[in-house]
Amino acid sequence: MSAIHLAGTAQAGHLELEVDLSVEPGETVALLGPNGAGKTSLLRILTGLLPLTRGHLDLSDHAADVPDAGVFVEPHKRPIGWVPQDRLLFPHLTVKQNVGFSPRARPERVDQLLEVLDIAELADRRPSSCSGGQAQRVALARAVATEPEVLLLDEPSAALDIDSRHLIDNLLEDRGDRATLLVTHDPVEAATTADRIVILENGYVTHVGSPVEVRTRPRTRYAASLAGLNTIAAVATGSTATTEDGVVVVLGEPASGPVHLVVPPVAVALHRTAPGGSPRNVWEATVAELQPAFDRVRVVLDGPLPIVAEVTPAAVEVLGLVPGTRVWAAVKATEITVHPA
Amino acid sequence: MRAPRPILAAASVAVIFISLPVVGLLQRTPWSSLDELLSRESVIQPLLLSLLVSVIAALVVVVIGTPLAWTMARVDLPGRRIVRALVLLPMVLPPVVGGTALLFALGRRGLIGQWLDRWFGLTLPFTTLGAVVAAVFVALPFYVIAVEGALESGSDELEQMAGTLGAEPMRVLHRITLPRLLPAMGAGVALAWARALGEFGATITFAGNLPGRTQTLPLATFLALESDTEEALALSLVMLIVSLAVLIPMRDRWLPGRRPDQ
Amino acid sequence: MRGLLVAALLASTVACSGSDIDDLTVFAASSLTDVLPDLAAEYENQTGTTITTVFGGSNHLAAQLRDGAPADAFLTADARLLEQVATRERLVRFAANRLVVAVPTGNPAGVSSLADLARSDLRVVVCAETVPCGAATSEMNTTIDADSHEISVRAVLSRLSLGEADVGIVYATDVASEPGAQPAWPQPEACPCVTYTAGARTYWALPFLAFLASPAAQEILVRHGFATGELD
Repeated sequence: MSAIHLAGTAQAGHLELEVDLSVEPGETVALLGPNGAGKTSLLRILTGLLPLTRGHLDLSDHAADVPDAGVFVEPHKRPIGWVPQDRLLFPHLTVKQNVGFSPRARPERVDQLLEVLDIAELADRRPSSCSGGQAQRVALARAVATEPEVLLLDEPSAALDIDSRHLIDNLLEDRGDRATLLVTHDPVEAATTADRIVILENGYVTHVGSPVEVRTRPRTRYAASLAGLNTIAAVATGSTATTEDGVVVVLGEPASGPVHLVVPPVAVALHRTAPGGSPRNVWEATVAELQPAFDRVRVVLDGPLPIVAEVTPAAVEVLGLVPGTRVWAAVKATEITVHPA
Repeated sequence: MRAPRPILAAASVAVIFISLPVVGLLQRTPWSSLDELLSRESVIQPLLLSLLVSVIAALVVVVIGTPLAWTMARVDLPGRRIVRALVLLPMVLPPVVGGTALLFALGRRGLIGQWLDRWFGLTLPFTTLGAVVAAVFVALPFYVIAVEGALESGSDELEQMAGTLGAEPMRVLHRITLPRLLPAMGAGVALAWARALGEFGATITFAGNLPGRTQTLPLATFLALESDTEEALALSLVMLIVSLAVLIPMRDRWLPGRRPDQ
Repeated sequence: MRGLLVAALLASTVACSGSDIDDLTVFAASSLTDVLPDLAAEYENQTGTTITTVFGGSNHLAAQLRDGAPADAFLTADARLLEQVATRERLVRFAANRLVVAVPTGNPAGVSSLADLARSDLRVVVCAETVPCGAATSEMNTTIDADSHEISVRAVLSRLSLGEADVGIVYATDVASEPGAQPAWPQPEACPCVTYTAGARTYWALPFLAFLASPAAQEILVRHGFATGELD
């Protein structure tokens, strides 16, 4: 039995979505993708606010949207709970009335949720007098109160304070058979809360996998950028590729046409003087910024080929790197992964 | 925001233009004999009748206008443009023409009216009910436009949200749509009521003019102008006061186009 | 009689000097709507002067004239108004109109006597007292249970011709000109009636006033159902 089984097409404005997606009960899936990829539209398909043009959608093994068979279950009959990006709290109702709005919401459950999410004192207040974090918790409580079999969250943690994030995370962990589909921009959140990651780009699913898989073997440029990897646009002609700024990069594998070159930051070696030896891709750069992160430092480099390198804090000291330092960056051709653009 | 001078100047011209007739009226009002004038039967009777007719008309307008506005805004009607043009027609039609058209439709020998007369013995001309019908006819567009405008401009995302929470359409209407629509409905009703109160041409052409039965305040004022100027002024003053008494408390909150307090 | 004499004097003076103007503006009570075009045509025939007519309720026309509307002559059934509106001294009473109890053609309600005007089950329509026709109606010594006091005699007439009213009181001339209405029963030529008086506001209207009293005009008036002759 699957909670969500979607194999269909829909039209959202100018964007055509074609999605194949399955989610099991109890599973949490993170939906990632650049702006305009269709993530919100995908949620709308599941809620029933955007009908499919072809294909079928099953929710909890019941047909919910099958255009060819004339089957369409109205949103109010679907076992879903939806927390949209802009929350859409009812401004003319109190917090408690919002949370208990659904006919499926039992009063005891409402009270329980208010407690768990620490919004009980707000019960008689209007949403307009709640902070962002409080409003987000109210919206979540409202959706969860309906005891949904599928919970859809659109950017639940965007701009939230730490306390709110903790409370929300706690609630989400207590899921039972509920499937959760969570749209997020934040790869860290995706990696930490999701069992699986689905990447949506331009209306198509480009990658489905566990967080580790996506991180280590990104299949698209976007996925690479999520994983913190450098991507460079270039035009390949055989064993080299030329970037827009005219820098020639030697490739480890031959390719031709427009490509994306993926370079892990750790593969970028930094030198104070021009290095000799095997790396064939060497160019000058200036340190633009240092981003320290515990056991490593990301060095943002400016120059004809802007790139991010990752070195140890010790290396930073030894090389005497500060913003403005001129360095030589070197990358082995074999460390460069080539993706057709 | 500080308004630039030319805009303020133009606005002042508009305000002066509108207030001049009112000032003129107030200036000619026989303040000393006002006491006596306002206690006359010939002033009180049309006032009470006008209030009765306009309030009933306003209620009818809300009852039939709200579903109409909702349908126009939310349902994908095939002949939508035609329906909208029809609804707006009484606004554009000269009231006397409207009244005559009502006669042709609902008069004793009218298209529908003749059946009303034959089957139910109900005739509308020369009755207070007829005055209400004339008032509803001219006032309905004002209400429908106000409410439909609010429904159109406010998106239906809250209603969609309510749907995803499991509320079926009637519940959504009752708990989300209507409560949020109240300010626009209030503004629409006020406008419709004001229009109904001031209706002259359609009333006199359709319902006629009989003190106590169909002689509303505007009709009485018109007739008084020809015979008793002082009474006419008193009646005009009464109309002015009644109208202001309703429109002023509305203030900004109730006029269509202003968003309700979130 | 006096009026005719005055008119004759006027006519003689005017006939000598001739007409100096091409067009006259005449304000006239709405009950003259049908007859005035014919009178104007005859006048133009005789003198070459065209007449522009403005019809309306006498009270309204008087109000406009008081505010300075540029009319050359004012024809009304309410002589008092002429006193309020600055006219030249000589007034001409040129026609009279009888009131008639009228019904829609075919007399569907079977109205047969004045007593029917008091019946509450009939739709009775009369002019409002503020218009001359209504003033005359109120001088009738009958009980009338009116369902509406219309603001012009034309409105009463249209109620009858549309069949919305069962009986109404209108001018004899209206009944004559409206195919949708007829007198309820053959009614005698008695008053109360209204007399039409013409007042000139400018010098050039005087010939027109004289014309109104002339035999040619009188004949047209009679043809339309007005009474002429002894008008005192």
